[in-house]
Amino acid sequence: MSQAAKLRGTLLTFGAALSAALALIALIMLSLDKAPLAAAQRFLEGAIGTPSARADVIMAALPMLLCAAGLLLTFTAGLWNIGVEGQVTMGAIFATIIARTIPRDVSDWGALAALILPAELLLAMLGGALWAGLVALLKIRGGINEIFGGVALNFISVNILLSLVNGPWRVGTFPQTAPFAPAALLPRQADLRLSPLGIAIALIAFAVVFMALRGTRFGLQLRAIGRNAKSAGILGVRVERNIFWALVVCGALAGLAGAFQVLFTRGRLLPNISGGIGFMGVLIVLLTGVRAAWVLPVTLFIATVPIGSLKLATSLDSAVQIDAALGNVFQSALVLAVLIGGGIRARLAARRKERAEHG
Amino acid sequence: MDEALVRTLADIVKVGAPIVLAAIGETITERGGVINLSLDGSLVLSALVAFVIGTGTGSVILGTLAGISVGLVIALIVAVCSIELKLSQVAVGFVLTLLCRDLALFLGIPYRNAQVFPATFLPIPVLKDIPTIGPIFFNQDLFTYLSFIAIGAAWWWLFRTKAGLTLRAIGERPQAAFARGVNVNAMRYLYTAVGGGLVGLGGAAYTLGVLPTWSDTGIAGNGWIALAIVIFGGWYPLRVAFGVYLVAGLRTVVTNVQAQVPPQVVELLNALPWLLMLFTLFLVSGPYLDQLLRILPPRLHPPIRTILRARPPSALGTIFEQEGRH
Repeated sequence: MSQAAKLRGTLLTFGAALSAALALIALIMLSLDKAPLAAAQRFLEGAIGTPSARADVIMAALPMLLCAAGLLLTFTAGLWNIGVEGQVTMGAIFATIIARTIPRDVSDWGALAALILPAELLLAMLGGALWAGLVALLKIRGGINEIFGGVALNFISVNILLSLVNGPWRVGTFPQTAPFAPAALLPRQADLRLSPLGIAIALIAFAVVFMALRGTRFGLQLRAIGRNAKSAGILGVRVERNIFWALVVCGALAGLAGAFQVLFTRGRLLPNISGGIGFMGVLIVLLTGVRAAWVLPVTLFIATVPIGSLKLATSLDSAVQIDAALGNVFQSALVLAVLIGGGIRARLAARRKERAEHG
Repeated sequence: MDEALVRTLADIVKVGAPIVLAAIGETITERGGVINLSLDGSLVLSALVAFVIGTGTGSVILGTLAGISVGLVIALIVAVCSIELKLSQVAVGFVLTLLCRDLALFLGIPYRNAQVFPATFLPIPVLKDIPTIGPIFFNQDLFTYLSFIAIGAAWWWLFRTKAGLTLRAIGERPQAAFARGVNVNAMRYLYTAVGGGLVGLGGAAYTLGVLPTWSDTGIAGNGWIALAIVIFGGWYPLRVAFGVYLVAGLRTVVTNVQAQVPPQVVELLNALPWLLMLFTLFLVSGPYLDQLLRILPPRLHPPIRTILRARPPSALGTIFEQEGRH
């Protein structure tokens, strides 16, 4: 099949899947006496209608992009790093270790002040990498499938987080830390909620992963393992070592995403700090069919969902006012529809080929 | 026996009931060669639907049937995607887990902490008066009895019937079963549906029995526990049930000490079941069992190994090309 025909097929499948997911959401809205078309209009306005909305979408996309970049590595190696959620959470916790100690006034810190942010980000990456390293060790040394190791560590990371914000780190009546000092946060523009430094970090991280997958030994070996781990091993690829590093790098990137959550999105540590962005990363990579080139646009598209849904949730018009949780339903419904659509397309192609061969 | 201990044991059996139903359901599904990874989401969504229908109609039976149908439909989606569309069972199952959970969280908003379902408590006359055994096993609610029946029935079906032999065959050697005239994929549909139905029943057991109200936080996570326990249980119903009661026991102990410790410690204690899950998985699938056995006399090695080892059905998660290429 030609490249153009393949692209057309992919877009057609995506379009059909998108329509199916939107139809499901419209049905749910109608059953709740809401106005789907008005809601859609309000959603689009809220997500891309104004410069500030577009800035919010870009910033919401950054942590997702970091997770998706890491997951590209693990998925390429055929690993289901469901533990990415816990790795985000650990990153947020580790960044907080430094961030909560930074005072409001750092004017007498001199050059040291410039080290605060790098230290926070590095520590967050270390936290995520450690948590992912555990998944890798449990898999390689303990024979525990990465899905189960990851799920258990996700829940354990949430328990650690809740323990910290309910105990030693708690400030005030709610289980959360105090808001971090400006010097501890990712610097942002005064008018729009946009952080050029954050955008640069996320894009560089994504570019590095993209190149690593395209043109390095590491990327090639991961692909070989993903195709068939056993034959890759026979051909001299060190399977366990590569699996370990794929998971650890993914964990470091997820940890960085966690740092973005506390140092930009929320400005403090609180329960459910990840907000599901790890799983959104998984959905994004599944949507692209593990193709790195599609990740950037798909991430931006997916990032409009939470931002737009939030505008619907806070709307005063009861015909479109709807809980933001519906946005999550849309995301997972879309991915399921894309998977099914891809399956149907492959079956049809196989049948056509068979018919052509037989007659 | 000590009265407090009897009460704790009765609690364990009750708290474990929904997880038993889900884990036994998954055992049956996986014995047939299909992984239904959607368990966690399935459990939450079927719990919500069972609650809504149950409170709406006022009927336990209708609520339960609604829960069962939800689990069954989700399982059938997994089966169709795997058998007809040759999609990865893990991918479809995982996305379904997220979808069902999100759907339940959204649709459940109006029912949050709404009302409590009338008790399905159903003490069995005469039997409940047997000392010790009576209060633990026969002074329970409807779903706890169903969980006992599920354990026994699954064991009997798998290891004492001809149909069970076929079920094991389609998960171990589907080609061989097919050569003997078994319609492998039809059987896989059947057992995936049966397993999913049991998961749905487990969901109903939460909102109509154990809790008995709608609360997603009390349910989410347990599907993953059940999936792990199936591995720990080595795909044997009795061992699976034992694993569930182990986790439920730990939970009950944590719940009992909850009032005496500060909240930050409670949160850490809540991590214990997950640590237990990792440890048990490590024990049954890690390479260290043999080293561990060395400290015991050699005569004990084979039985302990049989008890602790877990080997998945050979064809688990694979796709069976029934027609072949003509």
